[in-house]
Amino acid sequence: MSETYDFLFKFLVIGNAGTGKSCLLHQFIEKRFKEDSNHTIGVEFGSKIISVVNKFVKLQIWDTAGQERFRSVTRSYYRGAAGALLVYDITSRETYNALTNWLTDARMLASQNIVIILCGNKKDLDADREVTFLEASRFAQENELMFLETSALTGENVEEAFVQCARKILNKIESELDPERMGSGIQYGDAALRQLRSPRRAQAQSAQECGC
Amino acid sequence: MEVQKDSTGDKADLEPSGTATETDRHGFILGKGINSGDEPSPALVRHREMKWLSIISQWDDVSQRRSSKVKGQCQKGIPASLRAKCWPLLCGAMERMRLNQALYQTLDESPALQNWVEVIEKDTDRQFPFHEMFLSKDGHGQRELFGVLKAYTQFRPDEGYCQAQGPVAAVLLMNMPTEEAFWCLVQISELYLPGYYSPLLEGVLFDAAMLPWVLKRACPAAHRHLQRQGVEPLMFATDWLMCLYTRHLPFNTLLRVWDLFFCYGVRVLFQVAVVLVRRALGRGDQREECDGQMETLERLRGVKEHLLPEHADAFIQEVCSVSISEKDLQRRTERELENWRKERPDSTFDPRVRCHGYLMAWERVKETEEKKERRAKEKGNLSLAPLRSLSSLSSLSPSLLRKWKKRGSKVVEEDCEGGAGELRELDRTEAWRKPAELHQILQKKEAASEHPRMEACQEWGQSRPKHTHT
Repeated sequence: MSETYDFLFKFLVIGNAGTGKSCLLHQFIEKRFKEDSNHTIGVEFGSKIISVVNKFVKLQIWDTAGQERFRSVTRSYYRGAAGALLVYDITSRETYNALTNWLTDARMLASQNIVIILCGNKKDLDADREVTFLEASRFAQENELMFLETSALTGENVEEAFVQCARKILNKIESELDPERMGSGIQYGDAALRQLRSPRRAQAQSAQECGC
Repeated sequence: MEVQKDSTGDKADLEPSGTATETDRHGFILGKGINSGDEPSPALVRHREMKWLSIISQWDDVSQRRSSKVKGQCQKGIPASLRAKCWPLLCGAMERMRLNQALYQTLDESPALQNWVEVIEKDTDRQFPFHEMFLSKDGHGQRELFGVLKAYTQFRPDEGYCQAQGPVAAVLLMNMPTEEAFWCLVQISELYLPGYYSPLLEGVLFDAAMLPWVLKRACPAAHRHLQRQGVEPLMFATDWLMCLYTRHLPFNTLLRVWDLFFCYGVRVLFQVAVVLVRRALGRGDQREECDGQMETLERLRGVKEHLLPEHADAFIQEVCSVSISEKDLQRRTERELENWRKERPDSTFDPRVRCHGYLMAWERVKETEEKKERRAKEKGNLSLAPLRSLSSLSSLSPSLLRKWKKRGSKVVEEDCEGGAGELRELDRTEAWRKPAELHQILQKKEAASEHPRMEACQEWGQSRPKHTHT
């Protein structure tokens, strides 16, 4: 593979059925809305390299099925995820009410340090809104989640959601998170691998980078 | 072309949009990147139709039905004009339909279980958006799809609706009328693939656990590669299996695979999985290219791009050449079941009851018919009121009925195997008892008031937002 990147993060997209998870992924990768989106059975994948704070990060995104009964299957996808988009539909309280369950799953089954961003999707359908911004941001605060309202249709905040989540993970790597710990959901990319061959120098370098 | 029109032409006329969009012979809008492949020559189609007509006319003759002719013709492919007749015949749907006349209509006319309506409605316009039947929201395709899926949730309230049933029902509807499609869906969900669509998806979890054994035998190098890269069957085969490959094969190839599936059952799903894995990772250079979990998964997901509709014959031949016998499968099922039970001591799932193909399905339907007859005789002896209608049940247990009614469903009992959840169980095992005893049982069930299977099929947030899980 010719692509180079510094880090590779495994991301999950989770949330109830019909909240627009696959459309968010499609908008993020293809930069357009997917009109003829099928519902996801099991899991779909996508990947994209983004640039965050001078680093190239490859996101490996696992877009999961939302129907409740698929949880017995999707649990096997959580292992080692570094970040997650937890999606609800602002026009459906039911999808919002289910967030706690999804959160429990993510924290229990993915890596302990998983960084989660809450996405209130279908922001474009403001007239049909059932969940206020304020209410959801309180929920996010209480549960230590980042929060954005997104629209897979218009593309608003979609890239931001992925980027913010990735940025937080990068910050964590610099402070507390050890990417080399098993199940962190993070791998070094080619560029970083070269440094890894002489680990001490790599450490020294990253220490320097932290300083600036 | 003419042959195809026989089965779908009248439907197309009903499409209210009335657009003159051009479609291929399967009904897919042209120019959407879907290539329908070559048709067999009209003479060959005609020849095969004659063969099938002869098979159909002698279907009641057991020796004829058992002859290798049926399997041979399924491998060659059922002519498009006859799938509407042959699929329901093969899987026993026709027989169940005959035994339960008007049941579908009753289900169709009775009010839906509210909690399922919304879920199903969300999905009806997401199936095959490029197929003429499913283009418009008010078109007959989406309406019929809703009808069939809704009827299933009433027929099996303990199972409800699984999203993977959507594409399966849609393909059935492309090939046959609504009632036949409904009974085919029932036969697939209950006999061919039990547990695939139930709330715990145990059937799929089980078959995903069987798959490594299949792959190890049939394509050991690819199997080793998958293991090395940490790729598990549930990551790539969940929708292959659950949707019966509806999304992963060129349409003409898919129909041919389904011809085989109705003939042989789940074995075909495993065989196709082997062929797809081989196509994706069979060669050393392919495996080298897929150095990593995600690369391997992406290759497997993208395998459809490399399948050409014009190679359907070769594909089917390869599928048939993957040697997994029914005996092998059953033996392995026994072994896998031991592991399963160790890991899940509470599970009552038993994959051994599944029907491996049309002969077993046929036997099963017949068995239940005989049971029913025996039961009817016994009932006569015991002078037990027949448990056939709502009224007779309400005399036994009015509050149980109220509960069902509250859920917005009209409970309809089926004469043969299968039926409305709790009711069916009572009927099957306890109809032999005396009325007083039966009454007690019903009351006990009520007193417990929990309908565990019904509860299990309710989705989050709809009734119990604080639902915790294990």
